[in-house]
Amino acid sequence: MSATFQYGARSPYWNPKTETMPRERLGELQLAKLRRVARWAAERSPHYRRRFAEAGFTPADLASLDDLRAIPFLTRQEWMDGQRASPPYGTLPAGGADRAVRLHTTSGTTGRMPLRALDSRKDWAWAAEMWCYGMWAMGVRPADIAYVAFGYGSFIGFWGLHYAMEKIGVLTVPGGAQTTESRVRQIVDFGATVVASTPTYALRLAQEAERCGIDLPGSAVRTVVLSGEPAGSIPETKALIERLWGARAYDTAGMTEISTIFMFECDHQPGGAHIIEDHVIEEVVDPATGEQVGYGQLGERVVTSFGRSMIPLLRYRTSDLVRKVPASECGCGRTFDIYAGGVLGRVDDMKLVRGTNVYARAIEGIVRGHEQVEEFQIRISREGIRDEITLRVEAAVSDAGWDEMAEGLGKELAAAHEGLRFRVERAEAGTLPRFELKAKRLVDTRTGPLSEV
Amino acid sequence: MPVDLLGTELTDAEAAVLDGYLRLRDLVRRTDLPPCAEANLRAALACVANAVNDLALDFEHLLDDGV
Repeated sequence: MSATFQYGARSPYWNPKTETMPRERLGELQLAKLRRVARWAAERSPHYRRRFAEAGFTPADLASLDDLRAIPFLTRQEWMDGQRASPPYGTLPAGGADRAVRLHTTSGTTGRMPLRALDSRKDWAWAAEMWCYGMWAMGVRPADIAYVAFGYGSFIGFWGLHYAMEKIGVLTVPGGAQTTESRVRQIVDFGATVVASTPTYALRLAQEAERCGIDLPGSAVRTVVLSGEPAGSIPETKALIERLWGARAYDTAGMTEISTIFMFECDHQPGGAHIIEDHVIEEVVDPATGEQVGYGQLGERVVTSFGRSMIPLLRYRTSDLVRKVPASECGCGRTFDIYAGGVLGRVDDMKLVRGTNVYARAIEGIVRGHEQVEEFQIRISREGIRDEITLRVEAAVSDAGWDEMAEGLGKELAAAHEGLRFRVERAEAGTLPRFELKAKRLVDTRTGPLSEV
Repeated sequence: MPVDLLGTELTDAEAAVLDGYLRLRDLVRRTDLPPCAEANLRAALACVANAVNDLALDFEHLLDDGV
């Protein structure tokens, strides 16, 4: 017989059966699900039928989890190529749009074709289910009041979180289509105990509260759920959010391609996030060779998801950089492995400036160590034959305070980048772009017209 | 005795959840129900399918059932 689990509101786990399952058994469960998803994909998805045939793979080949490697990778480019060849939804779907109840897209703000993703009723319920794993692990319970500071557009963002909150039984306030001031006032007026937003927007809400004379740390908010940007796991950014809100901040990460989150930070806050391994297989590979790397090594996330019937996702190359560590590094009792530091960046994030590698995440970690910084932007330009990197900063300091801050920032940035000299410039208040969703703070003008990355 | 995806016998509670799921699935497949019943049963099945999947009691696609 199965063990007796502690069900209901007393359980610290949303799903005790699998969240604490021995890893060997978890692997067996993943294999059982993988076989069914691979068979489903082979039977129903034109893309996989073709790719499996090209690779000489059949689902019957899956004798162990190691055989997963026989499945060819799926790239975003292939997804887009399928959409172009067979518009509007491409060749991945396992059923027609008449079987779907939702359509979400990526933003397409960088000029790329938006990725279009369909969900059936069960798929969408699953998307909310994955958020439930995370919300429960953060201590969200039916008695909470959640405020979702999100625009509710076609970008998937916090849609799944909203439905998860309702599923748990939380009173949920959709904070769409409002000014930042209005959102802050609603958070306080409604007695919200949980707020969901991107890290950037959590900081902006806090700045707005201060401007309006609202005591956010004195409010009922005790949990800030972060998603949409890697900054949710940058220690300096997270610490700043926790201080400004007087609440604990937890990181999550998801993607439109799987419709929901694949990892969450539990209330033990182990410096990383648990992978929801009964619903996804997360491989970490060398971006150049595609070969798997071991625990502790930096590599690219490759995800296989069991959740979506409409769009089977097998070995999708995400371009996210991660470092996986064993579940035992957290004391919460979950057996789900952890991405240490969350999503650490993108494979194509690294910029080369005068021979030095520059990562936006590393710069943000330094900038957020200066609490007076209200907004910032990194600009990389070419002047003659020389590349320059400039940090533009909006800061709530006096002129004398600014001189001191600029000098400190310059020294810290240089020390972290092999002596690379950063120009540090003060920007007028309110002149730098503000973001509600994914922040784009790095602007590289070196190749032709201005390009945001 | 029914078993889960790992071959472990179900607890009484798990067996009851699975039974509820299978009954709902049968109801969704009927063709003599009015729209109000059809749609709500599909919505319910979508949720219960997730409980069944979470608990590793069963794992199947329901796209052809409109779910």
